[in-house]
Amino acid sequence: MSEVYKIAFRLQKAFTPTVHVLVAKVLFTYMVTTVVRERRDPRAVNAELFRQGIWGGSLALLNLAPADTLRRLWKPEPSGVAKFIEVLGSAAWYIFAGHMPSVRTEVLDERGVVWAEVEEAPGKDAFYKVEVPEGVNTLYFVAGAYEGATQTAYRLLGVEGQWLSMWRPLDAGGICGFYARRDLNPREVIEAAKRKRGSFFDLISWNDSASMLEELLGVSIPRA
Amino acid sequence: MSKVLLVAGPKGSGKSTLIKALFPELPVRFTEPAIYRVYEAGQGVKVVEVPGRADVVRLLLAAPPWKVSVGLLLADGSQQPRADPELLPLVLAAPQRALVLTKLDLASPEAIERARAEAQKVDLDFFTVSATTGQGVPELLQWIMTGARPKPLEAPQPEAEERKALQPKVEERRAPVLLADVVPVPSPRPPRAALSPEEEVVLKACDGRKSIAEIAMELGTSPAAVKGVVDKLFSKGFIKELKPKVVV
Repeated sequence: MSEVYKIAFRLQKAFTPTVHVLVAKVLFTYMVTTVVRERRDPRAVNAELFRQGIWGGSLALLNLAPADTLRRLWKPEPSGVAKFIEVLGSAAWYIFAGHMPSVRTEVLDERGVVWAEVEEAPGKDAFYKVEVPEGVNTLYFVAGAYEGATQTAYRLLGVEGQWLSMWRPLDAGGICGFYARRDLNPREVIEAAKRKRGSFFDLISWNDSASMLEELLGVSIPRA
Repeated sequence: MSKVLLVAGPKGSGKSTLIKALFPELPVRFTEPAIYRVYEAGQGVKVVEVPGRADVVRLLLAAPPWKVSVGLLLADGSQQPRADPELLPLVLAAPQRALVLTKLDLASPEAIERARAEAQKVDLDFFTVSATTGQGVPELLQWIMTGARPKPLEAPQPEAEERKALQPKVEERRAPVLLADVVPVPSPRPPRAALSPEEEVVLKACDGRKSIAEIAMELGTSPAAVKGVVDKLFSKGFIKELKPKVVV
């Protein structure tokens, strides 16, 4: 990612209100506790965290990413999309987790499927790093937030009907996902994502994502 | 034991919202089904959502794909609630059937009484629910699953204070809808830009105090639909910020 953007993020952060990560962790812990008490089953908890993440990510994007900036960054060809993910993905992580992640992108299909992995920096604290019951993974909230934020970015860019994006947690601490053109067959996109990460759709399927995006954001995605 | 629950009602009567309130785990879609939509709710329960269209009703009556065990006919409590005569034959074919007045929180006492009388007239059990507040949802779910009859119509309603005391128990059973609702705050100096009719309606409802869920309830639509319009208003500069709000 360009050094200019890194400096821009640091400047943006320098001029925004700052709270200790403990405050965010306490509030996040309360939210997760509420969901665990309501849902109990870790898989259901993870799905609900993902759902809440979609909503939170959408709100965050609206408040923090001016539409003009998004328009300047957005280039719809695959290499431009990869660059967009690197900048937006890093910016979001930097603002919410407080450190610069490592972002890798790869064009999986020149017709319009771009893969991305956003990995946390080892040893750095972040709001989602709280102790949870076995099987619960708070990175589902983060993945949901990226999914909601990306869909909202598409809406602000006026390309909601042309692109879609889905995100899931990475085992190693971080998240992975893809941007894909909607006119591609969902089956092809699913296979491409599974080749990168076999378990991508294990807990939250393509259709689950589509339902949640429709329910929360009114985004209509073709079903697989 | 398998059970087929048929949920029928005109557009906007709250079919998807009620299904989500009854079965929070289901990936419910909030658009009108093209013909009908089937959800597998687990424990052998199949939920079938049927829109209020004459051609669909004719098709389902002519060649029913399932034997319906429980039929729910929905009537929108915020409008003039009535048992849709076109959908009625579908619901009457079920051994266990009811007229469900939805959006109870927006219904007048007269509307409730009118719907209750209509249910009696056509031999349907009668329930009132609000998916927004959760009122009546556990009772309806229990009736669907066990067939336990609702309380007699003449049974006295709990006093307001008793109802308030019951509220947390009801809330505990509901799925968290939006843990963080937000208030869209209109810009004090709106730009000169064209708005679509739906953007104008939502912007008019944005008073800087009502949240997205509350605006959706006021307009009789889903929070997602309001959110979609708010996003567009935000990008055009008509909304200046989104303030988090605790909505109970």
